[in-house]
Amino acid sequence: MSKVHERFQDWLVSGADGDPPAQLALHASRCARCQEAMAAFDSLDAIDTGRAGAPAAGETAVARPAASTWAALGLVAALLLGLVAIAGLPRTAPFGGGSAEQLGKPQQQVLGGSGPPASSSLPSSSGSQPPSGSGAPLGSAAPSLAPGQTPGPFTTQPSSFPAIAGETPQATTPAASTAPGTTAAPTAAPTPQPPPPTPGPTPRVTPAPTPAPTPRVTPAPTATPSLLANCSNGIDDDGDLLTDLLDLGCLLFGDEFSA
Amino acid sequence: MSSDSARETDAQPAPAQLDAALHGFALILTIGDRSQSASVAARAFADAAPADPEVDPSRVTTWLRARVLRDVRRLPRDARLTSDDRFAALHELGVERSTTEALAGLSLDERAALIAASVERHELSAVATIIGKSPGEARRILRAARAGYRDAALAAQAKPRITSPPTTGIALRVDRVARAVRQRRAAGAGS
Repeated sequence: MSKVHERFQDWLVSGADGDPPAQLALHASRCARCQEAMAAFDSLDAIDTGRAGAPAAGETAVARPAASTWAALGLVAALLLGLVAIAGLPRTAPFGGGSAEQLGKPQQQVLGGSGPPASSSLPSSSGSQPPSGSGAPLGSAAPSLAPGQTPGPFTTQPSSFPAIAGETPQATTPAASTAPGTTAAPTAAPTPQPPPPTPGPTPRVTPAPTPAPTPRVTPAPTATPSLLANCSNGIDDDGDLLTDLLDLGCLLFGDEFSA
Repeated sequence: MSSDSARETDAQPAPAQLDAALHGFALILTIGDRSQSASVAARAFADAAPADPEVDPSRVTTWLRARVLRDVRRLPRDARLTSDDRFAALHELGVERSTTEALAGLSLDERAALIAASVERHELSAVATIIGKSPGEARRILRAARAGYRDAALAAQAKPRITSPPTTGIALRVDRVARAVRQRRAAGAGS
């Protein structure tokens, strides 16, 4: 009896091809254990993988790191920024008295190391380029798709995914390393600076005095008062858990509230 | 689970069906982790995009599953998902509670081999390709997977559902043979 039982179980485990030998079938038809085993294998037959359907668009991005991972990444990034800022201080002007131009240089080195190779669009700090230019490297390092916007593959043909959708978690990490929870930093930057010189209409009216407007505009680093106010008091004024030395807004724009 | 040989029909499934099936394969492989399964399936499709359209579709199907398995190997198990979450995801595919528990007890290779062979009806050579082993090794893994699956299913709290009289699958074949034997014996005893 037990030998027949084992043979039937062996037949099952071997794939249960075709009909079982008569003796084994007779045993199995009376053996509760064998019937349970048969039912277990038959339940696999009821599975239809095609019923999975297309996943929701948001589901594809859940393989990204958990919130705690993002927080850890942000903390590490902030520490790195702070260390580099401290190391770079002796080479620059005193922190409170430095212009945005002076403060920008070490910062660009840091960001340049984490992002793609610097392109010609890097800010030249010449004054003609608004500070939004310094945000360009940040923007270029960030992925074009937000983590939750990975395209759903099951609604379209495979060939409709030129970019590797699965790479989004990797691409998102640089963005997180810039400033946790302050993704709007580059866009908020232009506010303290004057708009770029718009000599368009003026030359037509008075061609000669065209250089006049530009000198008036360039003293834009009048943002220094705000720099002194909130970037040198050692307090986290904008509530992003980063004090002056660590705050991206102070480092880039001299204004803690800028980032 | 009548045979390991392919039961594929002549008609090629539509791409959307292939997409869904790969997603389903990944969903079972990850034991009901919707996000991971969607992610790995999307990656596999993305990498398969430049494939030659004249390649045999079954080879593409096999390659996609191998790719999904490779990616799932690298993913940690999401401890936030409860067994109910996982079962709810798999139940949509027709997976019973006991089957979920039994599949969860298998190794990843064993699970992939069992799904490929017993659910999706791939040939042994395809199963070997999917799990990246030789056919002989794949056969051994598949056998171990079936044994492990059976033992786990019988030990699971939720027992496999037995339909009486059996209507499909192995149970039906066994029942048919057993009836025939009894009838022959009855006829022999009567004569």
